Amino acid sequence: MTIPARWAVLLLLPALAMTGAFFLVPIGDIIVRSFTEPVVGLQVYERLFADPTTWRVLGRTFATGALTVLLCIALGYPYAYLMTLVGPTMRTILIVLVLVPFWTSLMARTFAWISLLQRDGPVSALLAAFGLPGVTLLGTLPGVLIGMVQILLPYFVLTVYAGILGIDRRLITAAMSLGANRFRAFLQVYLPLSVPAVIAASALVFILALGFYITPQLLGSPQESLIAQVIGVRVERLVDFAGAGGLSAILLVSTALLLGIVGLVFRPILRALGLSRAEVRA
Amino acid sequence: MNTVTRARPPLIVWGAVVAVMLTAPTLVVIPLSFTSQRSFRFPIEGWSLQWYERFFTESRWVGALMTSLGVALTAAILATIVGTLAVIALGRSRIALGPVARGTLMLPIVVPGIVVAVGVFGAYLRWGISGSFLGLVLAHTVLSIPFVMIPVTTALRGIPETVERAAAVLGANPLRRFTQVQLPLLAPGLVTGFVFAFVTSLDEVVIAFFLQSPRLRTLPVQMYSSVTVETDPTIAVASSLVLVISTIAILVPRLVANSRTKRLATLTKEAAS
Amino acid sequence: MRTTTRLGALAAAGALVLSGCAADNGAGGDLTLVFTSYGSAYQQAQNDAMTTPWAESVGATVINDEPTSYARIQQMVDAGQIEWDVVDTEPFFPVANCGTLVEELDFTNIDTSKFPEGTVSPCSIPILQYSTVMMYNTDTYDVAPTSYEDFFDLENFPGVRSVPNWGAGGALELALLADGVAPESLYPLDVDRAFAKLDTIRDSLVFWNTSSESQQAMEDGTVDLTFVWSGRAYEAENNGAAFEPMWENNLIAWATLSIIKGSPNLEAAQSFIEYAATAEPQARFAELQPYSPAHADAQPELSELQQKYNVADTAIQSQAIVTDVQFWADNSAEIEELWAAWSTS
Repeated sequence: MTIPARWAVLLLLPALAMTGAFFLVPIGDIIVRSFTEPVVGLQVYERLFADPTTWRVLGRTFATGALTVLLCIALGYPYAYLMTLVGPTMRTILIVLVLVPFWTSLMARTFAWISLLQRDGPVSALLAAFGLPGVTLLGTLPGVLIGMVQILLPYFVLTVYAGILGIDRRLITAAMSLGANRFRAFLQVYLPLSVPAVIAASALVFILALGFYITPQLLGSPQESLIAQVIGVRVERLVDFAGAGGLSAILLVSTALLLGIVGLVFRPILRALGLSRAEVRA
Repeated sequence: MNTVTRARPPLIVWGAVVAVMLTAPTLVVIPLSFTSQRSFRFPIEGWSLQWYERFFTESRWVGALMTSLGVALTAAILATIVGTLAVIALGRSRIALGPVARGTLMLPIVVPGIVVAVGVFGAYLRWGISGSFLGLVLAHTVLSIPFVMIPVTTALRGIPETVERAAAVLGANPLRRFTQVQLPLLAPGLVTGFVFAFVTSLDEVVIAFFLQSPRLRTLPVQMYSSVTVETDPTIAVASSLVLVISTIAILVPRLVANSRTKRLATLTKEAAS
Repeated sequence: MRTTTRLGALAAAGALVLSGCAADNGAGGDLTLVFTSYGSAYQQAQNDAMTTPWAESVGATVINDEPTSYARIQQMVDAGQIEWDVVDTEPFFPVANCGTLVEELDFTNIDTSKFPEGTVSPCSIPILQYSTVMMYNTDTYDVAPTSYEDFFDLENFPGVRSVPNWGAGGALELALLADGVAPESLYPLDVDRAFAKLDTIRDSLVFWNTSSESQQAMEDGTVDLTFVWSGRAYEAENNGAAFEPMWENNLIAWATLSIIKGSPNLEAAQSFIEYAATAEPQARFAELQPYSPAHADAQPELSELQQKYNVADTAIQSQAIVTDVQFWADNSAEIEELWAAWSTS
């Protein structure tokens, strides 16, 4: 049943008003402040871009995001592929397992890693057993990556899985009947078809990774801060909302550019984030 | 499943490794909460309930738990109400700005938490509501709306419009159609959305951290402060409790979902006959 | 339909109850005071020696918060939402922000003659003297380090180093003294030279944000060389940490109490400060934490371990360098910016 437009707007109003007032306005406010404090102008951005630490932190953040994506591909692609191969019961189990991190508290998970990655902890012992004695991962970038991958893997796996569900496995059989061995068939038939899904998932993971705060704060070291942590320090230590606003604007613009590029080229991303026009019309 | 594309042992092993990596580490917090030492050492040396005792007797922990539950419940209720209204508006009407509205409401998922936290903190300081219960609830509500909209949208799509049309034909006005047809059918989706919103607020730490005051400290914030300051296994207790609460909360929609399928089947049968 | 309404009603009722519980936290008594300090045993000792006896004598309720954060104070005052009343800070802070972020005190009931010269400011009173001292892990090192140069000697003294994570914390002085600057020429600080020196041990350097953290690190043995407040060093050793102090060139300063500007509990805050300015509470505190009391008449009785860390002891005083309060009052804002940039990249 179609609701008249007038009523629809009324129903939408509470949610939009709240989102506007307590989300859009505040974020807009600090960005505006980055252009107007202490005086109107671009001095905040001049200062930020002239400071080499800004570039170092941005570079480090992008590199960490890229590494996270690579790790997710390595760990998550086989997992997603496995999900397409198994029977319904096993598949449900695999889905539930991959969803577990979604509802387990972030603090609980990060705290668990602190305990596991600390000096002389279980992971250190494991590494020593593999020939790397005396290595503590807590307070290092690898430690942060471990935490980030655990959090972002579900997003990756589910997006890839949704994308590769539609690939007909009989194509592999067909390729093999034409003379290719199992591996060639997979590499030259299945893999290329799965690329859009992988790109969609990678973009999602990368964008989410850029904004990580708690994980690097607790598992990493301040000398290897990511951009979210620097934004936090600006406000928490220096009461510099304008600077924080400037860095936030830079972060948001980078994210928007990425989303725009990928969105223009790959519809699957839009669908995954629920923003597709086609979906709304359905 | 044919022999060509069945799952081979290496793939299964890899999948198992990943599954373990996803789930096992978190379970560490449960035995840790029973350690007899004032340390985060794992495996633990000795069992004790002292940290549980401490959690439930120290006002900063219990107070934090109560604050978290209060904020989460309120935010979840608000988010479910406004989110559901929005979903119905978007799903059952044709307005020009529909996609824009939907996109806007979904934004909180993509925007980094620190940016939201810093912005909201700055704005709240100016409005004089930083450190207030209401302020935190409103911020969490906005954050949870997308998590309500996703399951409710799916649920709404699952309601054939024929059912609503049948009700209209039988004389029900829009309001009655909503309360006596749509709402009951949407209920499982609503419950799922409510639970997602609840868990999102319960777990949220960055915004709550910046908006905190001596009287407004949520459990994740207390955990965050505690873990950065001293070695206090009480945080393992807090983690375990939150794990249990979240798991129970997530399982609830599963049970409600079963009744939904039954109800829809009955309704469709009645409408068809 | 009925299940949904019932569920909804339950949830709403629950939320109302819980929100009521959450909002109504510790409201009791006419006089309230929010006291903010550095947490753990230190703040507990301040409670035992100062805030609790005072609260009992005037019938007030004290709420504790921690840790002291200058940024939060600034945010509070900017926003006009004062959540803290009395704060324990480093001495430069009330000097730098007298009248802007902290209130001017009423000295009619405070005998300032009992305090060492130059430690009282229009906005603060000193309560104790503390030192920032280098500590080394005796489990790691057979040979004890003997100077700040050893802190930067990665060859003979390898291991994890920890310093306070803010500009005024003492790391800059530490670096300059290790680099050969004479104590008389220390101030004004050559900040660039200090950062350059700290960069030489960057890969082995970690920071502590709260003093409780620094104490925990010693107790857990996760650091090998650290630069901490003397009272925390005492607590750590008291708890069995295997650390020893190296007193040469220790940085000495006075912890002060001040009132946040615009505090809603001005009367209570003033009353508490007057109480904390007397000899007895200060002596009591020194018996719990071996910081040296500011009040000349305070005569604490210290245990042997406390005496070891008692910074009033001539052996320690003769090796101490007094932190330049005025320098930090004038330059902390600028240096904190530099520190924030340096420490996050």
